[in-house]
Amino acid sequence: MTAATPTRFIGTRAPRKEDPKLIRGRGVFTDDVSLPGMVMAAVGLLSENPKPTEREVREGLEGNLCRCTGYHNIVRAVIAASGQDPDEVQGAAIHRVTDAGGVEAAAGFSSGDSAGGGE
Amino acid sequence: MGRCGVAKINVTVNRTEHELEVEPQLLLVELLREQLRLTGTHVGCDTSQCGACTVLIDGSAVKSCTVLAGQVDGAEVVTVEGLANDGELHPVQRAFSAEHALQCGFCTPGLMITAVDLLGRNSAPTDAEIRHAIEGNLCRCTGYHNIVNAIRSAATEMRGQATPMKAPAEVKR
Repeated sequence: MTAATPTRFIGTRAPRKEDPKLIRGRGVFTDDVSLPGMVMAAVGLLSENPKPTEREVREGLEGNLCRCTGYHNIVRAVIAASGQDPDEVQGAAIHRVTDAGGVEAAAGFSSGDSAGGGE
Repeated sequence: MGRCGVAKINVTVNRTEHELEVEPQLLLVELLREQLRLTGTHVGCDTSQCGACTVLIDGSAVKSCTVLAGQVDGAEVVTVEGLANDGELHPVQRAFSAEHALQCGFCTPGLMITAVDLLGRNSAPTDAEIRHAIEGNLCRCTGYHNIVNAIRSAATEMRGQATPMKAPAEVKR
């Protein structure tokens, strides 16, 4: 077996796959991302208050209107995103959303007026 | 400009004419990023120290965070998105990639614009002239060595000569 010139890999220039976007100004940095208002409000709320109560979540989102989902599940999503158990945090709430999507009276409360529903 | 209301300006950005309504306090970089969604122009410091927001105004490199949008009425602005022409990369863009003159890419648009301005004025800059030209642009990851190599390489290509990929004996610390 004759020794061929060894192929050199170490130190060889290789094109980077990141470059084409970056040199065209199409890179995406955190500053370039604008989230929808509700998500933005949630991020802002959690960065100031990492473990909000349900009331604090509702107050934090009050400038953002939702016309179809309603606010129950959004509030639960924000509580869940904070690492807390929505059922536990909402234990004192008058109503809570069941897994099936319905609304039931929470333990200790009789069915009554719903606070903050989004119909 | 109006007294304290909205001003109407005509500005050409990347070869496209725009008629825009701008508030008097709006910065050019905000106009580019937020109204025109040209987010390739970055805001690094907002205080004209870092050069990430550099754009060409009538061919001159200017930090767009120091310019009011109302001041570019009638001007021609080129951002990093406008460097390539019909998909063909500008020689400076090709050289930055070939010479590994970028890593995270945040300072890159501003540095490339500054390089285009320099090479428009000086087709054969020395390394000292290149370093002087880019002194208003800060890079936190790549360092300046490969950036200088890239600008020198782009200058060579733009002069229509063969492109030496690496200057010989360029180890100067």
